[in-house]
Amino acid sequence: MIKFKETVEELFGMQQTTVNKTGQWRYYAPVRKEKTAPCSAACPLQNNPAQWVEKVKKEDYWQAWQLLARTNPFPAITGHICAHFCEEKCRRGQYDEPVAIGELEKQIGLWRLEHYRPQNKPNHKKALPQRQVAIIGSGPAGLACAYYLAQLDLQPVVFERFSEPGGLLAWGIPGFRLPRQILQTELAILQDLGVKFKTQREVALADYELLRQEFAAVFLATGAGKEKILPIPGAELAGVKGAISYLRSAHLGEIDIQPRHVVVIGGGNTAMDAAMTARRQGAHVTIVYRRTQGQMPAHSSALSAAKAAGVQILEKTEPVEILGSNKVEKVVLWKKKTETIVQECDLLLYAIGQRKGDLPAGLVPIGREGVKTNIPGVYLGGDMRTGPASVAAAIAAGREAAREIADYLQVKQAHIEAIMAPPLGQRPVVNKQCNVYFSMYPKQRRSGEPPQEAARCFSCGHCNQCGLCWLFCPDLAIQSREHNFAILLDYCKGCGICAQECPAGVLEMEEEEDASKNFDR
Amino acid sequence: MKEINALAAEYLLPGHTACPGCGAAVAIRHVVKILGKNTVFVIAASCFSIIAGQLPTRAFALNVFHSPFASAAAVGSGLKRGLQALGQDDIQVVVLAGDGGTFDIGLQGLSAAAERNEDLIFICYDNEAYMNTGMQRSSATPLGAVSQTTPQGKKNAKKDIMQIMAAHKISYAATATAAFPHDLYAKIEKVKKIKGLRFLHLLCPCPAGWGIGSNETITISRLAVECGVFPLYEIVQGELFLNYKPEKLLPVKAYLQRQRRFASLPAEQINVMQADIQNYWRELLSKISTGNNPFS
Amino acid sequence: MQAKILTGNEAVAHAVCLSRVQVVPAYPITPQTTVVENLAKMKADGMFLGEFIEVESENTALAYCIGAAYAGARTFTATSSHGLAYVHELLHWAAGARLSMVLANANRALGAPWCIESDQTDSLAQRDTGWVQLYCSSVQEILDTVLLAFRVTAESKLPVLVVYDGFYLSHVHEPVLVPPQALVDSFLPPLPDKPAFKLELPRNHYGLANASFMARLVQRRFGATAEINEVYAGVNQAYYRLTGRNYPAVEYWGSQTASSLFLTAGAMTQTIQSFIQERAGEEALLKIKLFRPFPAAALQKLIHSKLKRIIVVDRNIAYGVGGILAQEVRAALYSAPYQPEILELNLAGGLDLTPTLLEKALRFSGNESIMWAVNFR
Repeated sequence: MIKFKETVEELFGMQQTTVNKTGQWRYYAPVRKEKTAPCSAACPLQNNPAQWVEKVKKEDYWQAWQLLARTNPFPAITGHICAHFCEEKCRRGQYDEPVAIGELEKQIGLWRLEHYRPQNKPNHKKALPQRQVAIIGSGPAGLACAYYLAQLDLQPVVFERFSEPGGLLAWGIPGFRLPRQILQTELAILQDLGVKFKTQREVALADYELLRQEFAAVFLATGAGKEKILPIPGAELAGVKGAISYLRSAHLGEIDIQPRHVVVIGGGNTAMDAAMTARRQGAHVTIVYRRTQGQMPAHSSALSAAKAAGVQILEKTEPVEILGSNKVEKVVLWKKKTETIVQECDLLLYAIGQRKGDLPAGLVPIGREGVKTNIPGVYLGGDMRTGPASVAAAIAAGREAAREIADYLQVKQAHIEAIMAPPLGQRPVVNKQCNVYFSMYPKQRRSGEPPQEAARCFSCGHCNQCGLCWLFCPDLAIQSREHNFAILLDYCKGCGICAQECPAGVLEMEEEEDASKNFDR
Repeated sequence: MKEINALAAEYLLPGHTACPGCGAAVAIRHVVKILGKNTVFVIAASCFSIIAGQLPTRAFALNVFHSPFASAAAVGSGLKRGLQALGQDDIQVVVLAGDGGTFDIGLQGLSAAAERNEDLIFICYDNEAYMNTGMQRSSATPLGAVSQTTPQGKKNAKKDIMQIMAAHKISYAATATAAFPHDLYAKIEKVKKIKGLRFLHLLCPCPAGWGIGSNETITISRLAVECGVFPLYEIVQGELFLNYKPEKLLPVKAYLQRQRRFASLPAEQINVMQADIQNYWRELLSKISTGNNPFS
Repeated sequence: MQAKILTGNEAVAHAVCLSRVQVVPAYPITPQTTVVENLAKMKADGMFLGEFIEVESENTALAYCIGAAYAGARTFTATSSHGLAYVHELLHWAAGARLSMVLANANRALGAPWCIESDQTDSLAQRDTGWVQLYCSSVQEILDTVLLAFRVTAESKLPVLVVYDGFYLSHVHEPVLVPPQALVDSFLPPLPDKPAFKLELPRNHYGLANASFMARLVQRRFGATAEINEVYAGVNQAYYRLTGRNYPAVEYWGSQTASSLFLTAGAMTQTIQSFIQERAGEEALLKIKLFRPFPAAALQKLIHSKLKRIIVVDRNIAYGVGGILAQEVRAALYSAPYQPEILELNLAGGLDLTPTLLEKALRFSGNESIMWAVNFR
């Protein structure tokens, strides 16, 4: 009841409408549900760019690194060489140009390398057998596993058969793609974090049981097996080499001859690396691929770099025979199954894949994926388990192995969760077309400045506090606070504009449990 | 582009009684937010007579004076002159009227205020019919739209209020919608600085009246712009500047088919409307000034 | 005091000037036009210092006053007939919003057909809008009443309509004592110098009310209107002390033992006064100055036992009923101790009241309750 003691003037709006709990009108309420972005879904690491890109936007590189390290401890490396499937799926690509996730990742990685402060971890000094973990192979899977184990205060010992650690990263990827200094810095940091490296120690896989006795756990990650050999006549001639062994020779400076005409068979990244390496030696290089350029598994930027460097591409072409007296001289190519080309050639490189690694007798992986085996405490991952895959997939395997090992060695779950992302698995992907909100995201090409580039991210599936829900709420039921936005259910009428407009697809409308209760209130 | 400060004070209060998803509430909320505390509102009979609060409540953190339907521009003018007479020239007087209070019953008073160049901000929130009385057609109702008084669809086209206002040679006239908040913010910031009569035409979809979901208000506003139905432009001292040019206009069907008020439009009429929009666009583009926008 | 020869409209303009009105929206309509013309000239000459705005309609003019009054400024406009009818809605609004303002109305007939003669129906028909209505019978009284009106409206927060007959007063020249500015300044409340609202105290002025809220506001407003009798008496008393001129809400004039009493408002009181004077004071006159609120109690007190007949002279009409003043008088006397017979002399349409008509009215013995002047000329 209105009391009329007041003056007329006072009556005209003494009370604010905040006394009206208009939330009682509501049948549906907005709820926040974070989802997986298409970029994240495409990532073998299940890295979630939306989360850390938001920090880059705010120029908080430390936080960005912290978030990124939960899925990928080597952004400086992946930033250089990852295929970046994320960018292919980036929704911004349909709008103007995908967000340069790879470049941002690289920038964070480099920032981290530059700003790393030596820790000189105590367990670096005193070995505790019950906490030591043997990691066989120092490729990306082994290094990732070592990183996480060190972070979890375990003591990883990495065995490498060659003189320097890094595996494929060290000798399979040319220096112009991954500068040597980066891998060396990463390795130095790992050592500082407490990882021990034992190089030139080829461990016989069959000895895993011996290792099992010496170490608390074992992770086998020795990489893929031998390169597949070209199944055509003449493949045994001198000057016919696998691209990976060629890259390794180049890395070690073991190539003495200067090839003049190089033919590379294959369309993957290894083929590109080999072609570019040969091109740098001054050779005339031709890439021969059986399908079209668009179908090449190589990263598109690698392909365009090769073309820009003058590498010739022969599409829909297959080698049929290699000619030469004791050394390759020519290769016979069959183009579009109609035309025969005889190409001059003094070095023929094939990059048509590798086999899976050979498993020691008695060791059986459990399930189709994952790192567990039939022997408790022995884990398996990377290309060795899957056959040749991506560096990202190898790092993911290393992370999964670290998780399993930590679990096995009874590291506290909270500690694990603090260090690394949840296990790989199925996640709900953003289910609707996110709104492209052009007034907030004006059309613009990529920017060289990380914060500006980060600002281009639509943040699919992740609330980046863009505030559109707040902006478009007719009922002021979304309150802006210092660091976030709060939904005021007292005033939310349930119109659904926020969910409709949420550019990230995070907000959803859910029916109130008992809408009829509103009538009683 | 100026950042929108989410932490800045709000001048429309929660608990106001606009329908869920009210397009006008979104737009006006931001209008008052930018105008700030040194502002007095005059509200013509309209949905905002209700939204402003049933006594003794108030939904605005600003002084609001209600006005009879036809007289809002005049009440606003009188209020401004009264304040000037009292030495309070720095208080901004804003008149808020619906399309009825602007295009129809309020047009004479508005035209006269424009002719006298009263120092007013006149905001027309256009929901394209008399919505407060339950959706009867106004001269802002578009061709073909069904309303309670045009059950077979309106036979006449919408009045071009911007051209009418521009013909008065007022200092500033602009269209805006809540779906383009940065544009809206920029325009309100401009009108704050300009003297004389300033006219803002805000397209504000009405979920109940247009037959759209309460969640679609912003989407429909955006489509209105993207389809060329409601271009975002400003007329500054007679010079026209387009504020947003879609790369390619979306077909008007995309806008019409989401609204129940256009549900029974025959395909041929949609084609005619599409052709009308193309002509309108061509005409609009031909009018774009080549000079510099003095307020950009 | 300075005597000037002024028309009624000029007197209004002088009073507005003297009242230091801050906002005057102006729109012409016969027979009021020269009010705004004079004000425009005074503004141009630097005599009038307020805001003078040439608007495009009466609707805007009164709405302008409403806006100015919202701001808290002293405001005024003038109109007639159709202009007043046009702003009917705004009259309600201004009174409902309890705004202080003065509106001068020069009476004129309402069409159709077009007629500019002096019929009072235009202002009397606005009796239910809640405005205070003050009627004037001379040019001097017009000037004085505008001044009275500004003080009444300021004290009561009710708008005041100052009414005078078109042409009979609006255009007639009479000698007028124009009070000096200092006198007016001392009579009127100080000129407003700050807004009626505070920016830091936001209000929803005159927003939506439900029935119970509205009913209480109506009751308050009714009470405030009833208090006008008292407010007006005080204001009139104050003015009388300053000028010696007295305009009671209702005034008995003539013989205390008269058996016939004329009752009217406006310029016709002058005609009746001379008529009575010439007939050596056999009759009396009741002059209604304050029409709204109707001073029923004061009127009852003035009706004495000798009175046999009241002749109500109405230059206005309520169709289906009769003269509007006559209705009011009948209602006012319903509970009075003495109930004289009531005869209506009706001049609606704007007829001139002549001594002949008054004589015929005194002798009128027909059965009809209305004596139509048009039939007796």
